[in-house]
Amino acid sequence: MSWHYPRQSPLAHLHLAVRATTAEAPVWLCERPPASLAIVRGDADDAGFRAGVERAFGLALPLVAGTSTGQAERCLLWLGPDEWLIRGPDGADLTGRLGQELGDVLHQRVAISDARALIGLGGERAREVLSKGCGLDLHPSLFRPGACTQTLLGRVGVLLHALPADRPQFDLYVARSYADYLWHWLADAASEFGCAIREGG
Amino acid sequence: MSSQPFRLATGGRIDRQRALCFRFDGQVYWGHPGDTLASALLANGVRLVGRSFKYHRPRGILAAGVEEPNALVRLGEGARAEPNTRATQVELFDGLVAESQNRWPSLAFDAGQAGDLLSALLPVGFYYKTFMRPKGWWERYERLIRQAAGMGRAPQGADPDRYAKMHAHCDVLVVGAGPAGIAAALAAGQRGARVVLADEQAELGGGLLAAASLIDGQSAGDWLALALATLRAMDQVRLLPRTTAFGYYDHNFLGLVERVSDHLAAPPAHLPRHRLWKLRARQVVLATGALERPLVFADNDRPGVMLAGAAATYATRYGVRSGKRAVLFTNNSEAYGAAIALADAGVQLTAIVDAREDVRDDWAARARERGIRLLAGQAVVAVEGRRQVAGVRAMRLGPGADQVTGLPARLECDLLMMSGGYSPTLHLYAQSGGRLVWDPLRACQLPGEARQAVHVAGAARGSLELAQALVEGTAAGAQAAAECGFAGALPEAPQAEPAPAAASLRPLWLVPLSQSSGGKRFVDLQNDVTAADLMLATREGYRAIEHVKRYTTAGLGTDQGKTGNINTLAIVAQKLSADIAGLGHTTYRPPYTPVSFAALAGQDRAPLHEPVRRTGMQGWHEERGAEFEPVGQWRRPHHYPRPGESMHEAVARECLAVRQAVGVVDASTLGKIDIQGPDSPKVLNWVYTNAWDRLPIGRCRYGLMLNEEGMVFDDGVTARLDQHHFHMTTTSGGASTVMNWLEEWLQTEWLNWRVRFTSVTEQWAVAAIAGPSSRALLKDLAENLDLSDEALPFMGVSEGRVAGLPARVFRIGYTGAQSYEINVAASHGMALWLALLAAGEKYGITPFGTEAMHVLRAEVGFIAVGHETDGTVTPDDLGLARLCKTSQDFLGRRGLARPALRAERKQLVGLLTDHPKTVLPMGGQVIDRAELRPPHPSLGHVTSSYWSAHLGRSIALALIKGGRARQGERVWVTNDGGLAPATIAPARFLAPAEAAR
Repeated sequence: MSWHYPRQSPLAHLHLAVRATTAEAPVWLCERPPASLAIVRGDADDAGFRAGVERAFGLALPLVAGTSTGQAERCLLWLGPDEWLIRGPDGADLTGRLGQELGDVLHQRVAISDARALIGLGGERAREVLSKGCGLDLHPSLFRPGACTQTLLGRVGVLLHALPADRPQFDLYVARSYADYLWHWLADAASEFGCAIREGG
Repeated sequence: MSSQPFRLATGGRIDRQRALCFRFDGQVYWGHPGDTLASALLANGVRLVGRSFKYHRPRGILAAGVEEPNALVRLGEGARAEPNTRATQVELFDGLVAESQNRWPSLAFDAGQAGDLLSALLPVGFYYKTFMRPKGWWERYERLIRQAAGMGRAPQGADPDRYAKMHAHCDVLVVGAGPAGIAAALAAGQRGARVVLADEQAELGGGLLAAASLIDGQSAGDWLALALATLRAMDQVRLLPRTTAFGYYDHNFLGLVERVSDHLAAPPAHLPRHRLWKLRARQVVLATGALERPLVFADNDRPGVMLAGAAATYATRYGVRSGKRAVLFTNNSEAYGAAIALADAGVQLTAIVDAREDVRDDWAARARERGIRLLAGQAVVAVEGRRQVAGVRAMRLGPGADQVTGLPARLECDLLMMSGGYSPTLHLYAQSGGRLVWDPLRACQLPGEARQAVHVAGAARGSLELAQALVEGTAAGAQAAAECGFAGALPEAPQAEPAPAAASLRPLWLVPLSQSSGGKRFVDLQNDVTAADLMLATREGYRAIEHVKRYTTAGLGTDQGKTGNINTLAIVAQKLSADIAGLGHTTYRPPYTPVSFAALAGQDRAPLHEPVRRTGMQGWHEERGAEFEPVGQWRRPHHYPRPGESMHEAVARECLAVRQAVGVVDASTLGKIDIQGPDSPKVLNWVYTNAWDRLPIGRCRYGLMLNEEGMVFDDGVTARLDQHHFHMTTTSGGASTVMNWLEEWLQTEWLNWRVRFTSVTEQWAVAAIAGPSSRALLKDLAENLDLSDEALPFMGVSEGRVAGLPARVFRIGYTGAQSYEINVAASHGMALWLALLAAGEKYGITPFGTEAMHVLRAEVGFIAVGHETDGTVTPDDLGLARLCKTSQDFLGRRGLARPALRAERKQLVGLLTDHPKTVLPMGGQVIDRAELRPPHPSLGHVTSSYWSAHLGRSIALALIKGGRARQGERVWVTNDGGLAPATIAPARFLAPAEAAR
């Protein structure tokens, strides 16, 4: 599916592009550019299901709680014992591909590209910003690159993904309607360390 | 710069090169970096710092730390002012402003001290005894009493500062950075454990900051500096000075509060003032030290009576003499160290009054070496001077310590140091569930059996000696690390020179009154509780220590009895001739010291207090000046007032637009759930009351959801998109409840059902257009979308494009007008909205809010969950029994069969007021007579009530007992203090439009 019509990102009203800098800062924040997102639910014990998902995206289905496969922009994130989030490039027809590969295999596939806002958070003190609102132990030895978890940050549920990167970098998936709250919460939490707004890419 | 007459020329951890200016009660003073407010006041010779809580007696500084009960000041000005701050814990900064409390008009002359003279009228329990009559007057008395006995004043303005919270995890948390704590942190840190070391003081070191001993051959100060440098060099160790561990909760979860910028004259705007640490530790080492106990004798609260250790701390750490001539009154040897420290600092020691007979140990020898006079077997029985100690009198103590004999000896002094022994600081240990055990030998509570993964080291377990504290700290730190999996050989503990040999203490809980002197013997200085109060309570029959505490107020307040609790316990035990151990102890509850509400709130205050959910069209609503109403965490437009328009006018205009032309409402907030799988119809059959098997693809159906009791909890329209694919909608507020409801059944009862759910509420933006022109408007914008009644009938769904946007169009509505709910991807929400408004202009399109929506749905008698339902309403009550299938089971069906539901129920009806312009209040009670003469049996209540511009009259829905059979009957509804007459009518005032049937 391709988009030819005016789209508004969840944080469009904040005009972040105008405020973005390239300055170094202990914490940086950005709204990620649009991506294609889908939920797939199915039986992890069903070899056909696993193989179908793998064929569709060239990524193994992560079966261990709190893990992911792939990279930041093309990945499969574990959400539950029978539930995964797929992220692909903007416009990619993820559910179509799933339908093709899974055929009659029992599953649910739902496109949710518009249902989430994607906020990037990074910098040397990014973990501290998250720890202000998240009760999990995010120590790098435990919440390693590639780890993902659905948790409470401040007062909203988020999906937190530690990106495979040299320096601390996270992607936060949040329900679209909460994006404004989460952005302001993050900016407020980060302000004591020094926070820069970055271009999303 | 004014002189600081009591400042020593050398010594202490203060920076004499820099001077800090501060104000206390309007007077300007000077101090130095490293001072606390208390040490700076003492250096300036300020002795009188406050008035007591009940008797307004003059009070001075008693302690040098957290246990200070007297020197409570109001710190700062304006909205930043903070009452009840302990001067002993306030770091001095340039420009600090503090004010004494509990005095009027001034500290030196306080009108309230009449309370002291009238104290015979204010015995313990005087509230209950004196002010209970005449009946109802308590409220009048209370205002006066509260004013007289206040504890500071709260600031008026909003708190201008920032506050932060931080979650943290570690292997070993060490509370207290004295010798035991430092040793524990070193031992655990060297093994590789993640360590947090927290201490309430600005400088880490605790007792080491004032210690004169050698450790590993270095001065205590040098050793401390090296140890801290070692800890700082460890990546996995975090040092938290100015941080009080105030609460020890379940599963080794502790609350700590860090005072980040209280000590800064001009706190940078980006820094929080306080940071609340919510810390989960695998192991905890409590190295919380011990608090010195006061002795209880007549007038032991006079300014100039000070804990011995505090006087020593002021001399050695802050370079301040707390007086010129001092007497030490003690029952133990350790306190001699304080006397010696003061003597070495140039204070003249008049005498040591020791309750023990025949003191012959190393300490006594050292005192004698310095020529200090020793009065053994004696006790201080009187203190001269009111606002300042001017001398004391000592008498011989009888063998049972129950009387004093002989002639009093007058001892010249302006400082009376006292020491009644040491109480390990076990507040956190007790909070953790650990047992406290009374040790008669050391006359204190010691940690008993632990409940959590906690270790206690140093003075907190009664080991007052430095060398022993270092050994215990090392062992505890190493063991805690080992229990986290960081094994290794036991590290060598730092070596300190052994302390002088000390004879054991003589418990002395209450110094008898001499025949010549009276005077109050204070046990709890903060709450003005005396030994006489405790004795009175025991005479009145109080036995349980918790009851004594509440009756006498001993141990209450911000102080929580830090200096007084053990004395209270012992005196009560003595009076009851009971064993202290058998008496138990009062409960130690968090917080250890007060925590500001703002710290607990952290970032969760306006504007981040509550998340506000935004739809794709929110920005337009805001720009258009909509008035919003909260719906869950959404803010939905309630109405869109035009300039000069009242709410009433706006809502009427919006309603008429829908009935006559076309309106548009942002319906994005409706809950939406995608349901897939062959068992989807089975799920719908269970969760809805009606049948779903035969719903054709492309068609929708309305359904009611019941809980197990058979009560309606949500409703909505669900569409069949494909054989095994449904799109469910729920109410805006009920979306997550319904999702959880489905998942719960699936995960607990329907384990093998081939069906899955995913919330798609956020995926779709929804604009609902309603009104006779809605089809024409949609036609103008539709592509690949057949809007004919055949292709898209009422209760149908189609896919196509609207304004060029991929869309799912439902021909459903909530207004009784012809309407379409247009769903597009959320990021297209604004585009759709703007396109509808532009294309709709020629039809007179009018955006409408939730209020108009409610008027419109009430006109046609559609229920609103939360209005017509409140958790006690069945489908039949709503007149919707036809929606309950009889052939199949569904959730709630058995609940409906309960015999209790066969009684006469309240049923949904309409109400038409006699006066068409009277709009009944929602919630108004319905009665069957025209007169307000209680008691009135209630027939029911109004659930929805509006002005209908379309009908030109008010309409109301109500739940009324047996209502459906009472059509046409007259009732009366409470309305603004009176009654409004109305007639029961069908619960529908208008037939839905032809196209919406």
